[in-house]
Amino acid sequence: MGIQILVVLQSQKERIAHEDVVDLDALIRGDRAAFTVLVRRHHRALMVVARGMVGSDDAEEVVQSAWVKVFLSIATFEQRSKLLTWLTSIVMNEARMYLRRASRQFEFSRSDSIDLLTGRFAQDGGWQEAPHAWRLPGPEEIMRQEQFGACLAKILEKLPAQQRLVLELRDIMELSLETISAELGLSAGNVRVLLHRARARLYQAIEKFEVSGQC
Amino acid sequence: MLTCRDVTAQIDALLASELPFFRRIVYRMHIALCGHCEKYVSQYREMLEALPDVRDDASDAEVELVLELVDRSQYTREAGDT
Repeated sequence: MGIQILVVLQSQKERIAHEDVVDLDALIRGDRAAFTVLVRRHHRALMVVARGMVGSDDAEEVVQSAWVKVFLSIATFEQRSKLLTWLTSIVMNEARMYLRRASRQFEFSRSDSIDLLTGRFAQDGGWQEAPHAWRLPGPEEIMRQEQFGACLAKILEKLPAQQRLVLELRDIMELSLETISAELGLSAGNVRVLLHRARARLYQAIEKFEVSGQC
Repeated sequence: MLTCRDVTAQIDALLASELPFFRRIVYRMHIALCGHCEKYVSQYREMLEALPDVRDDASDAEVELVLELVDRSQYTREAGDT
């Protein structure tokens, strides 16, 4: 199934590779088509970041305001970081300003501390319910691949907002733990906890899909 | 002794190369001997390798809304300049 994920995502990757050629020179010239590609490509990832910091109700406002700033300041992008990293830092700044104006703070959520694997181990710490093998792709899997892609998106959507935020920043945008910790004002330990919970949830959900076909 | 439960709890530290040397050796010995843990670690690793490619494009409506706001902000700036 790990291979299945890779196969499903390969087609997405090829499509993205084609669409993701953001013409930076055109962007800097203020080219609307290039900006449209940029928005289409990254808006939802930035929404995940904002949602994790300010909550679902206010995320849209934060991201829209960030896009206006991006458009006005794209000429100052010095290409020292990836474009997505730069966009993310603008959204995070905007989110922090939003929280300050609302006299709110980004706080580590201590809820949802359930160990997802509890029940899978015997008292001696050995597996009681062993991990299921994820299937390799075959002809009969082709129909399932589309379902799996949709399921993966749904699983990510269902993650608690802070876990989704840290997973997005670390495993999708590939920011370092130190950067995430500094940007969110959380201890490295708390970032690790959120990341571990998110990954464990994702693993469990993928396994469930593999075993039952249910998302 | 490292248990299978410990393997799942410490997997992120292993993958981030944050386990101390001796602990890492013990961990690797465990997964070399335990098929269940070997499966867990390899599937977990594949999941993480696949994640950077999970991307979801915005809809036309979402893009339009952003472009409208950008246009409006430009108009406001230009009006302010004159």
